[in-house]
Amino acid sequence: MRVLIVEDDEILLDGLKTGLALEGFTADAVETIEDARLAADAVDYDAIVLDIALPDGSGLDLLRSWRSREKALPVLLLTARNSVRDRIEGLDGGADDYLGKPFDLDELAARIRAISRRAKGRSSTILRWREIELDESGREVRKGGKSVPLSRREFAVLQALMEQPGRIQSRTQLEDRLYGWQEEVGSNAVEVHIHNLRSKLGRELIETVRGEGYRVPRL
Amino acid sequence: MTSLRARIFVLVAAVTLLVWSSAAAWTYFSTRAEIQRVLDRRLVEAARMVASLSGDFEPGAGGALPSADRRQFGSYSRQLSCQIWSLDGRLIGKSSQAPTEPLALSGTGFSERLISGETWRVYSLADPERGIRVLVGDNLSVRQRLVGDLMAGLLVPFVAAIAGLALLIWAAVNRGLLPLREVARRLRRRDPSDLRPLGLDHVSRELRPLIGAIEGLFSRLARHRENERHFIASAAHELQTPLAGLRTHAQIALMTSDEQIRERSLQRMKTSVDRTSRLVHQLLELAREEAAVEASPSRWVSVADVARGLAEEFAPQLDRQGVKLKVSEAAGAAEVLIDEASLTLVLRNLIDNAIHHSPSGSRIEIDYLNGDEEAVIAVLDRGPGINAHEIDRVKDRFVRGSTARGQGSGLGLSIVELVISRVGGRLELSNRSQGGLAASLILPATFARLTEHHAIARGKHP
Repeated sequence: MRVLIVEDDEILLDGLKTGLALEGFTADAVETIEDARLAADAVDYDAIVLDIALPDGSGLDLLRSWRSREKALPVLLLTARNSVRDRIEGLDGGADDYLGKPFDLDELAARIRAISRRAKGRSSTILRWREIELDESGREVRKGGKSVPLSRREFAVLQALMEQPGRIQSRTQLEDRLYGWQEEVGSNAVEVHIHNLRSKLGRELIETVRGEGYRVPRL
Repeated sequence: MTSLRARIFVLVAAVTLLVWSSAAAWTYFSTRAEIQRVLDRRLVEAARMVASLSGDFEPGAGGALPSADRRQFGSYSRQLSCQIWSLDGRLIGKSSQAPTEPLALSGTGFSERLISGETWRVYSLADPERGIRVLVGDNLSVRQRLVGDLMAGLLVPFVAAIAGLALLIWAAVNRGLLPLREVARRLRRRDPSDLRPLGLDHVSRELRPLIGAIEGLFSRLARHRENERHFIASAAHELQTPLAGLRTHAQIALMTSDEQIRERSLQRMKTSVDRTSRLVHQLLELAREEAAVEASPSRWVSVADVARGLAEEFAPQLDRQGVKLKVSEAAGAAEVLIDEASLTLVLRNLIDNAIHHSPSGSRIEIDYLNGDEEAVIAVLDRGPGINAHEIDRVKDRFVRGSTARGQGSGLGLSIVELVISRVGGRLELSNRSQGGLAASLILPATFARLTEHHAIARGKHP
């Protein structure tokens, strides 16, 4: 899952980026409204973590401008202003969730997963394809009830494909979800992950659509 | 006298008593004069009557005249005494109570005479035709008694009226002060947090200035409290973000098995703690400066000395950033009438800001300018300056300019402004034409001077 973090405190931003990466997210970090606007237009994020007090304006205004343009990406407001009135203002401004500082990293990760899940119209945290189960919150994949260890990126590729069975995901789309801006992408990285997933979970799970990409076949 | 009620009562009572006493005195004197006049007229009439009747008496008989006054005058009976003398000095007749001594010595008209301890007022009438003198006299003590009794009769209602009046005045004063008690009652019952106006619609004109002053104080207090509430909220708010950073990194350090990530998070935590303690330190400084009592400093403090101390204090940072701190010739010779701790605090904040924004290899300069009315101590840097639209706002608490590098608490300039305003000065920020920021402490000229040594040096090298 790829998330964008908009926060002007350098240390917290770094913590969020590192912490969310440990939680299995691919996180991009920006410090200003301007950069956030550019980033959100360039990349299709699964969720955005947005601070309100930013050096070049209010995060709420950015959120409102997104919503007025019908930009539907899930936004979690992360802010030190945590009164009931602030929370109401934030949620009515179009936020999907609201979390006050300081916060628990695990809770933040769970809330990000929840808003992104809701945005995709799912209620369960478990994705199923035949006897394969992908547990988002437990970050675990099971085949026939037995846990199969996956790397962070293998998990992310499988998650992307299983979220919408039948839909073809191009290599670039998968790379976007796996790698942040500063990360070096190997030329055949996605192919390597697909290969590993097939050998761990079975060939029939992922189909290659020549010239287009990959998909998990619709059942 | 602390009681307004007692004060008004005493004043009103005293004035009333004075008026009453004057009225009583006037009544006394006018009544007495009237009585004298009436009694004198009676003497005249009695004398004439006796003179007209005296033809019926045999001269020299010495018989008693009929005492007609007895019943008529009650306790003032035998008031009139009458003597009839022949013109050659023989007593022809007298009333029974009259002394044998002549009541008047000679002449006619009114006279007074002391006879055996009693003063008589006498009217003498000479009748040369009959060859007699008629003397009719009053005993003055009887006259006095008459006036006295009359006055005594007036005194009883007078005293009773005074007592009654005192009670009524007291009640009236109490009633008149009711609006004041109403104000007191409202103030007494008021919740300390309730600083709205008193809501007295029909307040007496005399109370209006007082109510106005109280409500003015209320609104100033409310504003002050709102500021404080805002400040506390902002302070708490400002602490949340570094705390969130700390907590996140702590969680990362606990969670990760990667030594490198853990080390980095711990390092970040350390930085965050340093920054948070700087914020807390500045909050305390601000609180202390706000509570500080204004004291007029009595000693001239050398800007150069303070700058030298700060240069030592900041030496590691200056070295790290490759920035130099220079004190201009004028600033080196300047002295200001501010206590040393305040000047240090102010310059420390400004220099700290300048260092944070200075590009490597640049120079921070402390300069001094002396005008007729104002003197300026300026801290000049070569940093990015402040965006024009933000320049008025950055002095506000917790406001950081967008060119700030995420280090500051947003309190430094607030502290500087607070301290400098206490000596009647102010802080002005402006972007320098060649780039960089000029932070100017502007002081009344009487608070700054150049030392003589420098003045001489200046004379030699203009």
